[in-house]
Amino acid sequence: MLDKRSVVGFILDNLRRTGDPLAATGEELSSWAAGVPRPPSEYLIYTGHLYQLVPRMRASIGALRAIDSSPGSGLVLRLGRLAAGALSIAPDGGLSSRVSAMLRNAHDLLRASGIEASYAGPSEPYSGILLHDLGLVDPFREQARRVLDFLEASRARVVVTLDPHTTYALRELYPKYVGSPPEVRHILELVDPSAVTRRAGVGAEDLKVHDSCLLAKALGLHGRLREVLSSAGYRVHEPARSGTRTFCCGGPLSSLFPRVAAEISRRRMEQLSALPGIAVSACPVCLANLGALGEVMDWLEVVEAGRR
Amino acid sequence: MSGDPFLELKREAYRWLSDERARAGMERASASFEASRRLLEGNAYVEELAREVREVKRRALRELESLVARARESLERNGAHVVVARTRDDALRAVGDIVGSGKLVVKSKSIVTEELGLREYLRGLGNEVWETDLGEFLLQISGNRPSHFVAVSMHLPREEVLDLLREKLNYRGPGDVPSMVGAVREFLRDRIMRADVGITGANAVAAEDGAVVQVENEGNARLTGTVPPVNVVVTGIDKVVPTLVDAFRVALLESYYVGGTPPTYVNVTSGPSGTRDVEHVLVRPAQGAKEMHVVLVDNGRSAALGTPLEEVLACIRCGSCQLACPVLTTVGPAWSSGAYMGGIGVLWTAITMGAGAARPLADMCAECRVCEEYCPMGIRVGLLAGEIKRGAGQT
Repeated sequence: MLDKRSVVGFILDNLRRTGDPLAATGEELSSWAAGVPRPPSEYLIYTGHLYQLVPRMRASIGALRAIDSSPGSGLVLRLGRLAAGALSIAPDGGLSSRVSAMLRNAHDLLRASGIEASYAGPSEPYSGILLHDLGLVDPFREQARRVLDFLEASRARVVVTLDPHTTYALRELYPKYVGSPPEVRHILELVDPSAVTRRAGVGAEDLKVHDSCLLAKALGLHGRLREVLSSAGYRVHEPARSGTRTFCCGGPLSSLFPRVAAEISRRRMEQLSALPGIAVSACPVCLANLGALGEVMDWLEVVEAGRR
Repeated sequence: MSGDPFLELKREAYRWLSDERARAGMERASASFEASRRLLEGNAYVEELAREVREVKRRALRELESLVARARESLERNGAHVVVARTRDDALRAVGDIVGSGKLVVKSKSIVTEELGLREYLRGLGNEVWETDLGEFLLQISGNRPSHFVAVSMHLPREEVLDLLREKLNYRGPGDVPSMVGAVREFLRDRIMRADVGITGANAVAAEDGAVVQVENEGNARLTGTVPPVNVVVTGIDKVVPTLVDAFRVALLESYYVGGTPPTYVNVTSGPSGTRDVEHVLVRPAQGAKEMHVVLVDNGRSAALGTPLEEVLACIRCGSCQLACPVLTTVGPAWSSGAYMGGIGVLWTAITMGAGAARPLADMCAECRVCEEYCPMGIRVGLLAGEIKRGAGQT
């Protein structure tokens, strides 16, 4: 069973060595962006690494759960830093391709909505949100400062975020810890619903929405998500717990209490299974956790640019 | 034991996850409560009640020190003996002095007495002590911790209750719930009727009137407070509100938020039992308790005033947030400091035991903040638990 110090050590060590909490490579982080312009531009896409980390999150969730379940994990704990080494995780290639397609789609959706956005590539720093969520105030502040410098240097007027965690970090946390970044807009606030249609190849017309806690509660974008999905031509079904009363995917506990996180994910998937259609989320953390237990897609996989 | 509070918490959570029977009990109870909770959706009367109670509590916290003094004065005027206990030890000593040793003591459910560890303390003084709330009684005989403020034993499925009663009460009846409840009723009635002291809690204390208000459904608190010759009320200073009408509002709201319905009983106690029916001469007792003692416990509460934790003192302990919490309803009583569990438990632990004791528990809060959507008092439970995780309140 891993103690907190080992998990925190693993993340901080990765961040120090590679600039990413799960040691994602520059190639993994930026390969999706072939053909996407580089800054400067008025709108800058800031991913905060989170979508790109889905494959590594998925792999690390499994690895952490296995270590916590292993009768020999006491040895791992005693070996301390070696435990972190043992967590070097190989991302799933299929999932990586899916994530790349989502990110390219995000760029296309913005373009179809009249927004030409750039992306910085491998030099884009990690947002630090996991450090905040683990209670690591000083490392978070340090990372936030790095991001703030990066955003200011980009000279973008608007920072476009793609996921609720990164949006929350920039919009709510940075001003509290290090200062305000340029204007931050979540992609759902910018995409024109009338410029969106059902993505070719998605077999179902029925979707059941799993709301990310942050997207609903902190950002209030759950209504906008439904507007976009409905406008694309989907029938949207609601679980008993949805909107601001959604039920967590378990993700926030997946690094410190991976078996508890897995059980929460199972309970959420069970709630969703009562409804018809494909389960859809708008958050990479939800996708990594719930998607480990069954079919879950991201909203960026079910819509595409085009008028109905 | 590893000595690492994080690992102890994790081990306890994993132990709970492996207990299929206990998890089944929790899931059944959660589903039942969720159905009750839905009865409140769109209920304008309850929403208005919640708005009024938020205002009552806001006003009360602003003048808490003077309200506590006023409550003491009014209760004493009504014939009760009052102690304001600054610390946990002060509170235990005060109750211990009243009860003494070698007594039969019965108790109704009270989170503050859990906070104090009162039952164990009184047993340590050589008293026989019985919980009379069914859920608390089951926890007492099983050695389990509560998993919810009100539905304390929601993690105990009927199968485990049957095993417990067979082992501890030598119960040989059938395993259906009504039969088991009947057996406990007989056992506890006998203790209540013979008891020397009855200890009760409070949902609210009216400062102006000098009255204690308590809601319940089982009827045990009413018996516990009136049948034994000595009644000791133990409650927190945060329960003090200006008037009896305010106190009723608090009690009613708590009841609605627990079960979606009004309470079966609302007990108001303003002093010891007495009669003036013969020549207007006061004689104590008549049919109720001869003595009434009230111990108002501070234990960190007044220190929370003026800090970010002040809003937590408005908590009416309905446990609505706990039933909505994906983590607590998954790991049950594992996520607890004893009396206080879940996200709101992190905050109450910080108030009553210090931020240092609360911080390891805060690691288990997912900060999804759904609890806040269910709290009738608008307490920012998830936000504040997150701040404790990040070191708030620690020196």
